[in-house]
Amino acid sequence: MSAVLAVPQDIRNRVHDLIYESCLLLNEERWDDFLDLCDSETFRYVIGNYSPEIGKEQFWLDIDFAGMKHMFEMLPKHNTDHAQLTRQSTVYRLEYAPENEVITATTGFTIYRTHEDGGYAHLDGGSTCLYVVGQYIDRVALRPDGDKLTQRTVWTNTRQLDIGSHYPF
Amino acid sequence: MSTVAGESPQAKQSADNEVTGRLSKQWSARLPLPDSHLVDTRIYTDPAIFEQEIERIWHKTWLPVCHESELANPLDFRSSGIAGDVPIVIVRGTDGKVRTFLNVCPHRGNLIVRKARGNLSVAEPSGNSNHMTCMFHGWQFNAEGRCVEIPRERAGYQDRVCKAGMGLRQIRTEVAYGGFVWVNLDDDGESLDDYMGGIFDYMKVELESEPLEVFHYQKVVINTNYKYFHETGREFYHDFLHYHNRQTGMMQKGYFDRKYVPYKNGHCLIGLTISQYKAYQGYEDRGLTFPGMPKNGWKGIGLFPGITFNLRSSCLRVNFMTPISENRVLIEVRGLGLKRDDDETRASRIRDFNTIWGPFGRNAHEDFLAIQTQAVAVRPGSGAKYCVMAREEDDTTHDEIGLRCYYSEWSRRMGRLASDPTRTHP
Repeated sequence: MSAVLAVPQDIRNRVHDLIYESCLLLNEERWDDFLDLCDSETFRYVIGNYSPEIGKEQFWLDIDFAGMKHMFEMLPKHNTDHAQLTRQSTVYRLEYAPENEVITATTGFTIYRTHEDGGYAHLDGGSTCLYVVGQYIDRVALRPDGDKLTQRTVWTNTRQLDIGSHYPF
Repeated sequence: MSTVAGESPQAKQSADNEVTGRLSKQWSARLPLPDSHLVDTRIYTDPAIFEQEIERIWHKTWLPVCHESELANPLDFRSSGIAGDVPIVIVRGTDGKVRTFLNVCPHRGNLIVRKARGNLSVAEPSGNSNHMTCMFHGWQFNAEGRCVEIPRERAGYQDRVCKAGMGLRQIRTEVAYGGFVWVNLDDDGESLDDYMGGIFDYMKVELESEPLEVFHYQKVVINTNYKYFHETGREFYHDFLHYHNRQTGMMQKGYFDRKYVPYKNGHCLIGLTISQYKAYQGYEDRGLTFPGMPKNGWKGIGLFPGITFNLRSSCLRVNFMTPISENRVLIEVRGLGLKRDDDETRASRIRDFNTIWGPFGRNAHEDFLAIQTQAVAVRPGSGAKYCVMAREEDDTTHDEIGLRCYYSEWSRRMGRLASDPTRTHP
């Protein structure tokens, strides 16, 4: 709690805006615009969870900026369920390292999935279910020319993702 | 639509009604193919057939349930379920031996172990350490399955029920073929080695040279029939589904030379091929391999009734299934590397695994999507009659011999033909 209070209000607003904007852009599948929020040199995107079945943390995606760009570019060539993922997020905690101009933000999120053609579109298309619960752990570099995400770790409580997804969370 | 000059109204009507597809009678008619080359869709959708599959196949065959690295230490346990969701618990005893028990208390039928994984030396609220304790009434069982504690035994049961007669139901268990734990609910069936019939000789170097370790565990529950998923590991004609496989395989020299080799008991060996990973934008060749595997090599084994060992150069993917109903299945996906991997090597294997087989991988999502929509298309009443498994290409990549050998065994064990389940298997 003290860390939150220690963050200047203007910086809190900037970081909140960046994270919420990132969620909106992902919701809208505006992949290039999302990448514009990320540092092209240092960005790393990780999706992980803890598996009680094997007693380990495991990572299901771990890519850099170029890897993410490739992933987005290849989406039209792949078959998909075209499900729309809607991220609902709340930034809960900011930890500020003024000397490095870096913020670590912890954001709770839920992702709802609106089905399209992954099953029986006639029956299921347009229906929505809760898909994933977890947290974003974001590192944000504060810069005069625009704040950038340098890392996003998507830590999920949900471990059953049924048919999976070609889209990042 | 204009009428052609001189064309009668009747002729125009006839042209408008021209049948370009098949009418019901033709659609429902059996294709002129032998029994081995067709599967009746009822074997995917009929609840009675599913129940018979559980009884005649899943309760009679060897099934992997976990890897020994998940039970590394004495008193480690792992709970799971098999064969239509029979709850089981696998325990490593203080003697180092791995045993499996029905995870059902013989008293009132509660689950004894509820956690997915743990160690019996850790005390639980309702029990002391080193034993499996049913939280309901405090009955306790040791790692060898003996009943070691019945609270107020003499007061309640006098001499009518005693610990000596209330041990757990033990299930045949072997640790083999890369350190996997295999179980068989049939006390009297053939041995594990006899059941495999030597197929694992094909991966002996890769699986047995040194200990393996699980780095990826994923549960996938899908509303589909379990056989659809297993089929995706037995034919690669469906590489047309996967852009990744078209680029790294189908467009490359040697792709069509891959061989299938049917084995006894419906197992099938999937021959070695070399993938060109760098042909997919943003991906690189795989420098890492398993012992005995060539760079970028890919080989596999499909085991009846629904297990796949898939080794792509740097990482092993092993899929087990627990059929829940005729239209619901739990798929467990494991990724494995070598136990001795350093952090960098392990990270590399995980990256390779995720590119294709992780839940965000290029192929896994497409395979799961396909088997989900397949189940939609053949649901009862949809009108789907047959699945055609008739490709013959000298047992190579797009041949469907892997499917045919599966359904030959299926028919034998079920006593009815997969091509027409109303007919008896000869």
